[in-house]
Amino acid sequence: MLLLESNAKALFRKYQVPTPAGVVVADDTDLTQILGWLPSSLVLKAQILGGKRRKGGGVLFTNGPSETHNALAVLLGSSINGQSVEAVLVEERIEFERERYAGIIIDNGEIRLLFARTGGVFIEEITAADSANVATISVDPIQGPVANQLQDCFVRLGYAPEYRNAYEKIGQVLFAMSRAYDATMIEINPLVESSGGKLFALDARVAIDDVALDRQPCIAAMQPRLSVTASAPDEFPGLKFWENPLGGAIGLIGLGGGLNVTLMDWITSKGSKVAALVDIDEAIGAGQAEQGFATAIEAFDRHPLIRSILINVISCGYRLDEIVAALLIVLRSRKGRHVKPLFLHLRGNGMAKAQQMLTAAGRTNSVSIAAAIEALVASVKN
Amino acid sequence: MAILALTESRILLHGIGNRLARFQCDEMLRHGTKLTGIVVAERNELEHWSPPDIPVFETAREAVASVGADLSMVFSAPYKVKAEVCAAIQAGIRIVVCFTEHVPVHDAVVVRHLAKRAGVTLIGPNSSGLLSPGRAKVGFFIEDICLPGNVGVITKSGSLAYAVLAEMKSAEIGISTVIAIGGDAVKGSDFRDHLLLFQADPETRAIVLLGEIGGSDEENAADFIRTAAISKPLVAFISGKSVPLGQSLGHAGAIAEHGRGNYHSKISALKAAGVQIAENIGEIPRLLKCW
Repeated sequence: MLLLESNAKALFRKYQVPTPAGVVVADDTDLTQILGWLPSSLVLKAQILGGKRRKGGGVLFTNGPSETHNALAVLLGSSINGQSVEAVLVEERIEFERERYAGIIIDNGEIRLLFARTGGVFIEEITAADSANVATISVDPIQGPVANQLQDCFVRLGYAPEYRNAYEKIGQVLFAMSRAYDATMIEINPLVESSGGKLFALDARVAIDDVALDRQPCIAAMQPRLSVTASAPDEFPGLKFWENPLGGAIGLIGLGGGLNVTLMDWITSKGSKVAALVDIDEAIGAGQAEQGFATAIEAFDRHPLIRSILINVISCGYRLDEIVAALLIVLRSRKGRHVKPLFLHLRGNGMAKAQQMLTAAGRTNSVSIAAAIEALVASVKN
Repeated sequence: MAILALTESRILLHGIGNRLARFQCDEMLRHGTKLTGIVVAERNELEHWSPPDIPVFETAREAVASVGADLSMVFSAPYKVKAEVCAAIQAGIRIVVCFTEHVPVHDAVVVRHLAKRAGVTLIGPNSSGLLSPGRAKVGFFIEDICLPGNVGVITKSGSLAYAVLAEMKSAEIGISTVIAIGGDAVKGSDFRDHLLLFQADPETRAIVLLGEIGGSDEENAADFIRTAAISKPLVAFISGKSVPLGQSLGHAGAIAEHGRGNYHSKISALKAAGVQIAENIGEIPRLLKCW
């Protein structure tokens, strides 16, 4: 789950990270109320999720109330990078001498702090041209970052001595916040140096681990939010549906993400495409295989692009005969309604019994994945 | 010889309140795998279940002292995994296999760190387990879909491995051990750890790596193969060739990935390390038969 900048900065303030004074406004009346106590030089930032906001025109600088009201009118209700702007963060404009970057991420199984010599909107391009722009520190997840490690990194990056203690505090705070809030990524870009050895977090991005939200109720309550993992559409509870943006003619009902993706690749290599797939794993795991198959087959029968359906299950952790029993109930109940060709490749624990059930029901079980795909692809090419 | 899951493994099961754990308990006993104990952190875990005739312990430490357990299978609820794995490590268990899905990333980072520090082999979270056919079943893999033999298999995805084992069985190629390291971003162990074990195992003559797009485990494995003298023949398959490219999470993600993580970066790294690449899983037996 990604947090809006305003929510991320609220967390920063709890950890005494300096941020510009500012308020979120949703209409012109809100703005009028706050202009009295903010300075005249301001920055207005669309509160949307995702990056490249400034490049997309979502950040405007103003001087004086008139410009600020006009800028708010431009931003509110506009579309930035495909997202509608419903709120704007109005902040004091901070004068600074240098733009840096600080972040923390979980990468390769470790917590890593990142600091950059040059931050700002072009950090990726600058770092691609000069990898020494960013220094990375592996952090002990229990002890946290070590002061010497941090200070060595700051020297390497050429940070001026009067700022180094402030940077060290930023490193400690990023680690503390990531652990306290189950954050998988936090970044401050830019982190700016103002006069007197002071740093300001001018922007903030925080991503929280979706599966930890139950133990982060305060974070979970922050709205709006965007899950960083795909979730099932509401109309298909318990099932993970995926639609191929490139289209296709095949509907795939499978068990297990790794094998589903492998079948997609295989089908693509044979000249066809999976239009949509659904992983039946959670439905089976919840003891709702019958409901899962019924929902998936119904959806694929109604799907405008899908012309043939493959059900592929290779089951070790569940009994295949129980899965087949559930599937056959669904297929019997749909007799006369099911209109699209259906191909089966079913293997696994309890195979002999499952095969007997399929044979008794007059269903063909493909002898191999290759055979299933060959027949499937041929059916949509005809 | 096989690796990790051995005839003499003395196995503990944690999280027996989970229906998958109970099913696996029955399956392992039917297989003949030696299940030496069940660790029950809370007594209500045993409700509505008639446990087989296996000792029940309140802690891993008791189980180690009483029956010499050396391998833990963890099915505990996601938020309890950290405590359960830590207790197993502290009790002196040498191999911990964690099956639980949806373990918070920070908990996974901590248990990975503690396991590495203690020299414990942690497999998972979100692992489908291990199987050494004819010796020990430590998870979901079943003997029906494979043959005993001399190919070691390391996979992120359990479901993909099921299909590959079935393809290999059709071609009469058997396995020494299959290990599912899990597909989560943070894993207790990765391809590199198990490549070393298979390299040292006299029974394993070739190794299959089953990877997928995302993360840099495959690129790390390729670097490792080049530098750590993995001399056994290697075949790899990477799933996700047809998946549209995703977006990195922030600048930090893009900087950390540094051009790694996609299908082409993995394939090119593995090829450069001398690994044979299967275009689809049906090709794996043919490539293995070249040796």
